[in-house]
Amino acid sequence: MTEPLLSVKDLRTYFSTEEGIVRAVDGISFDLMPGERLGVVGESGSGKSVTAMSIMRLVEPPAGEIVTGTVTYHGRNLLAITEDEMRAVRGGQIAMIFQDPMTSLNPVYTVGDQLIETIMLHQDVNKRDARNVAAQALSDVQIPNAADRLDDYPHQFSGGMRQRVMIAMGLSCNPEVLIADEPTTALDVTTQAQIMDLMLRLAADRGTAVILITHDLGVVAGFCDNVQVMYAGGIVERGSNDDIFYRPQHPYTWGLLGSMTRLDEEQQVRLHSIRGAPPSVIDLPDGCRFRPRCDFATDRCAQELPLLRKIEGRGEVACHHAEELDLEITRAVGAAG
Amino acid sequence: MFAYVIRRLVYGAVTLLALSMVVFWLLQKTGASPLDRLKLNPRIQPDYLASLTERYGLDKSGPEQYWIWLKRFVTPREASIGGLPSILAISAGVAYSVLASRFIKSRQFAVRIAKIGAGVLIWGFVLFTVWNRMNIVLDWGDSFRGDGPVFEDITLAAGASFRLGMTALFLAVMIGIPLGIYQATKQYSFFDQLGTTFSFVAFSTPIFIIGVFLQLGLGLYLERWTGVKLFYVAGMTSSSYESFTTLQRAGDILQHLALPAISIAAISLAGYSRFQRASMLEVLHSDYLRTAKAKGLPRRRVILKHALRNAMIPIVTLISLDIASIIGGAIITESIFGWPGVGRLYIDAINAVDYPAIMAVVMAIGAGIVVMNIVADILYGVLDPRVRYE
Amino acid sequence: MEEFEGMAVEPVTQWQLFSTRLRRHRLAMVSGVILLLIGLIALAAPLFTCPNNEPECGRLLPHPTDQLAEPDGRLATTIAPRGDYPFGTDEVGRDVLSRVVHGGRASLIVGVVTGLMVAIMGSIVGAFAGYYPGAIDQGLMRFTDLILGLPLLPVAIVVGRLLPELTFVPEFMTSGPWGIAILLGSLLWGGLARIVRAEFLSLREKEFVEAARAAGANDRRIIFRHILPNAMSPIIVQTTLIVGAAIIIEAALSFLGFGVRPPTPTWGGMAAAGAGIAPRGLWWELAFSASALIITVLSVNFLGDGLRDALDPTQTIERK
Repeated sequence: MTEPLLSVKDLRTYFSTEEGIVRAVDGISFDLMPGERLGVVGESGSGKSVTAMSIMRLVEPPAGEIVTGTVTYHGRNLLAITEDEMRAVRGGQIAMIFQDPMTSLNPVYTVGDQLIETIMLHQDVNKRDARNVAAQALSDVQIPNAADRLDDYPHQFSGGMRQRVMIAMGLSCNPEVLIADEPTTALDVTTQAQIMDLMLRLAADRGTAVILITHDLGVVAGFCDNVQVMYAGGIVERGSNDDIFYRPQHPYTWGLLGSMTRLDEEQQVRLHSIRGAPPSVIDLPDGCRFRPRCDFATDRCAQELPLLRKIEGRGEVACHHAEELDLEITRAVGAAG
Repeated sequence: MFAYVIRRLVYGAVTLLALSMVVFWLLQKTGASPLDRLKLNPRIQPDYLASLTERYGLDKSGPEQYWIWLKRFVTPREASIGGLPSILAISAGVAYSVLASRFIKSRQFAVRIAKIGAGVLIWGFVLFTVWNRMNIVLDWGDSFRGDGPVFEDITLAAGASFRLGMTALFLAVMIGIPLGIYQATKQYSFFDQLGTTFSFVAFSTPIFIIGVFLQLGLGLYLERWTGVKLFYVAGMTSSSYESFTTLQRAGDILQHLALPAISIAAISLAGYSRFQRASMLEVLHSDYLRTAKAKGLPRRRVILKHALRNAMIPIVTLISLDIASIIGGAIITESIFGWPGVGRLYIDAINAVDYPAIMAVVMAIGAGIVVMNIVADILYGVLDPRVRYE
Repeated sequence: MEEFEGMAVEPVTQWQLFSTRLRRHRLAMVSGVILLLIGLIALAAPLFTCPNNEPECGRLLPHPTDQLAEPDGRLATTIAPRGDYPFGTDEVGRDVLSRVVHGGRASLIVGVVTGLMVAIMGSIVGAFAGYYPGAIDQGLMRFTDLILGLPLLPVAIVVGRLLPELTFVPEFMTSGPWGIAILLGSLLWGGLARIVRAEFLSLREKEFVEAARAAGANDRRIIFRHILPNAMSPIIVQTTLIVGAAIIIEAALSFLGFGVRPPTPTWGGMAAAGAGIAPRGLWWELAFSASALIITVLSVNFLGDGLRDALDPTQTIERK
């Protein structure tokens, strides 16, 4: 078995607010293999973005703080190296693209300036070569007249085009890992599909490992090899694409799938919704965090926090009743259908 | 841009016209003729009054008097722009502006800077040429107080006011903006809290109180208690100024300039630092700054390159709006510190209800504000590529 | 609302949100109380002060003219602060405490009247300009630009100087705070008009306005009943700022001698007189009038700051 490219162990990131300590990410561990495309799915506030920001060490003190954990990358713990060493990793080896392309580019510099800046920061090239690299990066993301458009300002691009620029910027230094935080959420559906196609092809061609953060299961289905589902700062289920979509084990995953429109089912299927709202990550319930919203909760769920465990022939799940629930979930899905 | 400046100048002229009408009308509605005050002065001869009546059309109706005033106000008594060299210079300036705005379309920052920079240089040269060769004397009337032509008074006083106002603006910008930026990067620190408190108090203190307290504290009592004369509390230069060496002169000017300039600067400075802090905070929390950090840029470069320029854009508007209040502040400060500027001229004219002087000074102040606002707007466009002058 | 896991979820109204947010802003609350006190004292001032040593005034403190002798028997007009004259007396022997208390009336009249005028004129002009695009908008905004283009202080100074002599101005406006208040009110509304117009431009397109129109509401009702209440936050905040500015400008005019005329006491006028005698070591008239002015304006501005924080619905709880 190959070594993981990136290995996260027991990561905890807390924020202090007026109301109390927010445990945004509370003890998660996962590995990312070279070239793997990993989906991280969850509702807003589940800690998926904070996970990404923690890996990049972009969580800003004093409000946010990485309390414990290690992020091992090429034998080094990214959380322990100096800021200067980390800067070489950021953008160069691990790149990140963000949700809102409309606001993620600096409005007062041309996209060329911003691309060239990144390239010259991480590669030993002169300005003219950097410009060529930048033009190539733009044409790789299928922006027409790439060389000319380097001199345009972000406001002269449409939303989809700006996200292409962001992708070009992220991939311009050939990183080993690309973290994409809700890259298509702010875009319309057609553009979404084009952008995801583009990312898939670019990542596959270059063998870039991708962590795709999204709340949209539909996006994950076509893109990822493996998926992990986050809820209230923890991972509740993990597995291959098939595991998650065809053999979900956690009631929360099941709920998420149920609330998704599917084109391959009969039209009169009623959409399921998970009752209640995600818990405030300040006053987390004891035991299983999903318990207050779970139809299958028992006394044990109220007392004991379920840990992630492997189920034979399936993925990993953090639920005490995964085996017993199996039938019921199937039945419930049937009942809902 | 050229067309934009022209249009702004036209708007400014309309505003000035309205201003002159309002003030002229008010002066006519005081129920007393401008001559009534002069008649009280036994030394003034009746034939002087008659000549004034004829010159200003004081026996005619209000609108006719205004028309006479306006015609006289805009018609130069002597005017020459300095012959062929000036005409050539002006044509060159206009030609550059028209051609540049038509043919240089690139939005790249360097090109924009070069284009506007060249425009500023060329127009600077034009103004320099014309200024040295021209001879324009406008007939803005004679002061009723017998000080001679008001136009000469104003050109003299304008220099003094410009010196004071620019020093104050310089102080406010050079202290206020870095202060606000520093506060934002150290949000909620002790220094930040201190700065916020200071700016709130300064913002709520009328300028005359600051002026009077500086005059008493740093001027009068400092000297009385320590025997050191650090600052002068009145005037622009000492009486023995002419006999000083260059170095002494510079020192003398600074000693006179310091207190009134600080008075004017204090309030603007408070406003700038508050505003700059807020705008910097907004930028620091922006998505594109996160992008810059995620690219691996050093924090210094993130702030100096990516944050500063964005954070400075909105404050240019504030400064342009603030110019009127700096000029207003200068009126009050000049009268406290006996600074021989346009503001004090204005207060003196108003106290004496000196009609030609009031009209002339109010127009000069209004014109100053119009021009400064246009300059600030052009600066705004240089900083922000999204702005287009249409 | 629904009951969830035994927790009843109470609906929270805008007003409740506003008052909780405002109460959290301690400085704004204190400022509000101070302003209320200053207002009450100024209102009641004629009952217990005699700013000009009127012989028949209802002053509770001993009358200045009886007490002009210093302890050493020397006759003095200007008395330093002491037991019976906590703020001392001015150059002509008038009680500074009485005058400071009385001087608040001018400042408050100017603050309140100017604020009201600005709020009303700015809202109406801005509302019509924002609601009726085209000629009405163009005309109103050109006029607004013209008013905003006028140099404020120079115009205020010349009008303030001429006020007592203007033939068409009614008697009550000529030398007191009312004239200054109305003058400032008619010069300062431009900024608010622009803000209200911008609000109207965006609110005009909102669904609730469509709904009101569909329900048959006429324009006037839509403007004043449906849109204006939604534009209230910026109006209130901007008006508070104007109140502070108006108080400062009135004080400056009175300081220069073009505002409220003597013998009516004003803080600006007292500061001018106090500044004249301060070089002789007679500091109190300047100190007390200046302090009164600064405390009042500071309170108005703190209150405005608190109101802005409390009224801005986009603000989240994290922001301090």
